[in-house]
Amino acid sequence: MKCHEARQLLIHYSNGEIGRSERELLQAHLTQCESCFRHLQSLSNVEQQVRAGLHEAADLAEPSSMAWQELSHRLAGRRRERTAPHSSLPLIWRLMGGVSATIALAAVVGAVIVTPSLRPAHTPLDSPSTQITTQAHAPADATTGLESASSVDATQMIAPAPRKKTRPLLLSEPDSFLQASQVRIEPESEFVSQISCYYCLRMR
Amino acid sequence: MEGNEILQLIRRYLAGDETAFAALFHQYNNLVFKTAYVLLGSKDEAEDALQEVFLNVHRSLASYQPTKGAFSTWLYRITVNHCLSWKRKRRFLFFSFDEGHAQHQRQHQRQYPSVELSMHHSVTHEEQVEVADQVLKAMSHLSPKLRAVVALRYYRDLSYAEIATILNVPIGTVKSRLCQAMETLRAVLESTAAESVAQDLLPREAKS
Repeated sequence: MKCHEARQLLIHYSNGEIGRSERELLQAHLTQCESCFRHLQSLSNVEQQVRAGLHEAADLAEPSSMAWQELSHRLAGRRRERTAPHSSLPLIWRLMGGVSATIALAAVVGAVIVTPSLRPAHTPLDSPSTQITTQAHAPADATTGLESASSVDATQMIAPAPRKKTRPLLLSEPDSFLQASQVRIEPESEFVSQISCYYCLRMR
Repeated sequence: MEGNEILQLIRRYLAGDETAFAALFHQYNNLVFKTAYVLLGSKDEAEDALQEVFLNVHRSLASYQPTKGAFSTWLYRITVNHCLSWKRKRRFLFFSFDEGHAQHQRQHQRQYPSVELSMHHSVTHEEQVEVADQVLKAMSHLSPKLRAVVALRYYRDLSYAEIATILNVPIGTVKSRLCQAMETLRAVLESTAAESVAQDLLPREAKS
C-alpha cells in the first residue's frame, strides 16, 4: 500500500469503519511508514477535538422554553385554515370575481360622488313648473316667502349659478345643466355624470 | 424511548390524539434543535429549524414507515434536509458562526457574571466554550454536505450506514466526504492552534 492510498483510509480506520483486508494492509503500511502513522495520530486528535467541540457547543445551546407554545399556535392556525371553507373555483375565476367586485365598488363610489352634481339637473327637470311658480309668487305671499326663501337658499347651496339666471332651464339645453352644476366633481366621474345627464334627457 | 413507545405515540396521533404529538415534540425537540444548531451554527436559525421540522413532521407523519427505519433516522433526515436547503438559500456561513460565538459569549456572561472573581470555577467552562467555538469556526470552512457528515458522525455518533441512509447517498460517498472534511478540519484546527501558541509566547518574550 502506498502513502496516498493509506491517507484515504486513515480516518475510516480510526472510526473502525474499514474492511478486514484493507485494515490488514493499512496496519502493515503503518508499521513501516512513520509519516502516515503521525498523520493518523493527528487525525485522531482532530476527531477528539471535533467530537468534544460539537458536544460542548450543543450543550451550551438549549431550545427556547416557548418553542412548544409557538409550534402549537402555528398548528392551531394551520387547522383553522384547513377547516375554513375555501372556494373550489379556479384561480382565474376567483380573480375575475375580485375584479368585478372592484368595478362594482368603483361604480357605487362614483354614483355617490356624482349624485350631488345631478341634483340641480334633476330638480328643474322633475318639476320645472313648480319651481317657476314658486319664484313667481314669492314676493306676493309673505307667509310662504320664508318657506320659498329657505327653499331657494337650499337650492343655491347646491347650485347657486342657475339661480342667478332668471330664466328657467330648458330641456333642450343639456349643456346648460352641466354648466349650471357648480359642485366640483372628480374628473373620472365627470364622464359618468355627462352620460347620466344625457340619458336622463333622452328619456324625457 | 424508541421503538414501541414511539410507535404507540405515532398511532395515537394518527388516530387524532394531539397530545401524542406534544409528547413526540418534547421527546425529540432537543435532538432536532441541537443537530440543527451544530449544522447551522446559529441559535436563532436552529429555533426556526425546530419549528419548521416539527411542522413538517406534523404534516407528513402518516408517511413514516417504521419498517424502513427508526423514527429518529427519519427525523434526522428531515432535519438535515431542512438545514441543507436552508444553507443553500442563504450562504452567510461565516456570519452565522460568528453570531453563534457571540451568543456563546453572552450566555457565558449571564451564567458567570463574575469570571475574574471565581477563576478556578470558570476556567474549565471557558475552555469548553473556547473548544466549542474553535470547532464551530472550523466547521464553517466546510460545505453544508461535508458538515452534515461530520455532525452526524461526531455529534450523533452514527455509523456510516446510518449516515448514508439519512443523507440518501452510498456509503462510499459518506467515506469520501468524511475523509475530505476531516483533512480540512485538521488543517484549519492545526493552524488555529499554531496561532494561539504564537500569541501565548509573545507576552513571555516581551517579559523576558
